[in-house]
Amino acid sequence: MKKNEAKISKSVIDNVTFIQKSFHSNSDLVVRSVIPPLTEGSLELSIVYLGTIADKVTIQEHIMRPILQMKTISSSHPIGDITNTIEVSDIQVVSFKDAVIKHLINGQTILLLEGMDHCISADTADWKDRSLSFPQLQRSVKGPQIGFTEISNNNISLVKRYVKNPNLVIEEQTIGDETNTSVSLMFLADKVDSEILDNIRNKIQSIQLNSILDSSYIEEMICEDQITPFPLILTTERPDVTSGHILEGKIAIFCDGSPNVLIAPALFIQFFHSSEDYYEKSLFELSRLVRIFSYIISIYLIPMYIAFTLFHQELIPSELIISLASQRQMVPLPVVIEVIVFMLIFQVILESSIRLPTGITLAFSIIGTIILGQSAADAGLVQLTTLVIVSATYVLNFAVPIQPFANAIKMIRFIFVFLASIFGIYGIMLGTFVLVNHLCKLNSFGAPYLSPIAPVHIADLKDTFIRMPLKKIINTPKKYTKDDYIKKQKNE
Amino acid sequence: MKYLYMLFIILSISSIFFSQGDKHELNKTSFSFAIGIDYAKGGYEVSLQLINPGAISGEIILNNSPYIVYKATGKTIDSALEKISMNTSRSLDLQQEQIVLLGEELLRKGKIKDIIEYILHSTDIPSNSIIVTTKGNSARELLEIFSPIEGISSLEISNTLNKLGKKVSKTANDIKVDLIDDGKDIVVPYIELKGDAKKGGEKKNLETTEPTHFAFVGLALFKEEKLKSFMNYKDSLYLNLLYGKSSGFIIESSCPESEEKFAYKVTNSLAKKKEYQKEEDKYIFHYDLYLKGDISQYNCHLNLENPETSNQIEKQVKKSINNKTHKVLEHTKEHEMDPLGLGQIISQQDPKTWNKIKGDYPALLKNAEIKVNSHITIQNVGNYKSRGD
Repeated sequence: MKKNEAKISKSVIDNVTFIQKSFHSNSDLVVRSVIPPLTEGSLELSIVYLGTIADKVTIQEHIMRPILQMKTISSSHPIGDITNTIEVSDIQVVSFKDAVIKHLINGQTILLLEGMDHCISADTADWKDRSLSFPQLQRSVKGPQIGFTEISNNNISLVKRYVKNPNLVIEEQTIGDETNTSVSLMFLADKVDSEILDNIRNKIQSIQLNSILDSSYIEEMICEDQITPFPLILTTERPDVTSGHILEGKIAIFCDGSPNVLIAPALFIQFFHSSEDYYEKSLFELSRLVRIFSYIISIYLIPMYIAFTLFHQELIPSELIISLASQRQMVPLPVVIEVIVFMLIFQVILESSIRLPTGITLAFSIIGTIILGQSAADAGLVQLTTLVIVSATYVLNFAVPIQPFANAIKMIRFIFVFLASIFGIYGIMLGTFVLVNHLCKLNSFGAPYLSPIAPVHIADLKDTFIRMPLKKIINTPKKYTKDDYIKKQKNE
Repeated sequence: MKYLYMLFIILSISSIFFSQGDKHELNKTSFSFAIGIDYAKGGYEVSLQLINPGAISGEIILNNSPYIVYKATGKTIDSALEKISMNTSRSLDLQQEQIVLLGEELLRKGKIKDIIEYILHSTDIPSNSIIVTTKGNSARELLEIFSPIEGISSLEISNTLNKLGKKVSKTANDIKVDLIDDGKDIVVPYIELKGDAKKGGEKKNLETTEPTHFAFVGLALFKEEKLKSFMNYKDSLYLNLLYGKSSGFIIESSCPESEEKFAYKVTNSLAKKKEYQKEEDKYIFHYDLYLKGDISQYNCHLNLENPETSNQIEKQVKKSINNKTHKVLEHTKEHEMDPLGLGQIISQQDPKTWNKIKGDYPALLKNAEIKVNSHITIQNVGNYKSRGD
């Protein structure tokens, strides 16, 4: 849409033609001309709205009826009289053509008055919405069971219910030239790091995308300066998680139309944290450690298997090597190819099972698991141990509570498999060396990704691997140590 | 940060030049769990027990034997191994070696040092594999036996020795240490074949209830580098008792009041404080033994509920320990060897005397005497405290 800074004209007919032209005579564009039977003065006005998104009952009951019942109107301030007459809470006076269009597409009703170069915009938007429901992706056993929906305003109100604090600031802006998506930043004014806030604000303002359909578009656009498979922004659909992070001084980004709220800055270790950690007695719980352990093992299990069976057979216990060797007797493919084929098959099974109609899932699971897995081994195509190793890897991988983070290591695992098959354990060490360096290098909007582990921040470690009692962690806010090095580099 | 990625690329490329050449799929490798070395004229006869994994577990595709023994002679062990590898379709993997079985004849000729040096030097044979010797048969004959319980004879031998306690099995490292140490002679466990060697090499051996099998018989005692004598299993256990830890054996003693016998089952033992004392021309060694155990079979008539009885029983156990250790010492005196490491005790506690007597040392052991001070704890006397008569 081209920027149209022109003011609206004084003629209603001109304005209506302009609007109709702008909307290409859209069938849901409703134009209703009203001439109220006034005893004093005269008024000619047109009511314009988009029938599909505006609430017709409101228009009829609270705009049309009061206007038609008007008796008098002052000739000097007709707009003031009308705004006093119509019974809608949110009313604005608009004078620019592009603003009129913008209001219309947001579901507002425009009242155009003959002879005036202003018009009235009344909020009558009625967006179709689903009711609040359980969070779909991040379920939990204990704690709040409410999830975000697609309406940004509802989501904001959900968070506001948790954080009843005047310092909670919402900044709204519209981005995307064609979709005009409203994006809101939410933060606690007294706790937020102004530098990070400016950084995020600038990055969102400079997004040059025509269309924004989901919050993931924003995530990709504002993180594009660092190439990494790891997510630098936490995505959540839980209002309690969002509130918790906002209270730690982080910034939440709400995108209208998306149930996923973005939280920045995000740290590596926070992807292992689940909201339940705070609701359960956690000091004696191992769940976080189990998640971290299984994440690491799910990277290394397959490469280690390859390295041991190909290069370092002396490190396998004798009893095990007999059974491994006996399984390999009549297997045609080399172990590396076998593993890679099964990893790919597993990815395909995952991919297809997500989008499968529910009716076929049973048949699919029989084919996918029993026929493919068991029979392949029985037929002597693959080694049973390979199946065990590959499936164990994927099971371990699912232990991570946040899916995008679990998916981040898909590619890394393949790279490690190649390294292990060419160089053995030496290759795995080489890969680890680069992986750790890469993680150390990353930063999420100025906060080092591996903080508080590297650089070490002892106070924050209380809520890292295990959660210490709440009274020790809640009242002392976390300081994700900002990367001085990177800041210095930027200043220079 | 770019230099890191450069470093990664450089390391990857450079590793191609020194990457391991021994990359083998598991079905291209032949594993060997036991190697036997015998004496051959002018060299060694090496027999290698190669595992046939297909026949041991999983699906049996070909009805072949679980393992095959290849043998070859050579002037060095390596040349013999090379000959064996010419016979097989797969590459040999000696890194899983559990057992190094040395023929009796080879050790009688004093070749143990050569073998130990070879194992420690070799990059293939792990230095923690157990060294065992044979009595009567050659190593090759023993490796050809089908093992009735574990399925693989090498695992059966290593499990048998490990069961008896850590001090019984000896690795190349342990023997090397004993070789270097002054005043201690080598001790190597030996096994014997029970039954007919020829029948043991047939698959029928796995199907009978009275198979030809191995047995741990005791310790082979060396004088310097030559095998001198074999000590039976019971005496060897007492030898082990004096070395340090051993467990799970029975001490038989006669009852305090009669000639009937009772059995004291040792569950835990510890030898502490080996002290040396010189009296005139006698060398006296004091051992403190701490034993824990149960009364097992009890043929005596005294009531065990009476604390006095257990004191008497403890005395009897002490007595039989003293008798047995004395017998062990007599045996070593006879062959002029020192498996107990008595010389070592002297050299540690009285280096001056040791330097004087070092030259004609093992002969001087004639004057040695062992005094064992045992501390017996009876943990469990059994359900019936007295025999009721």
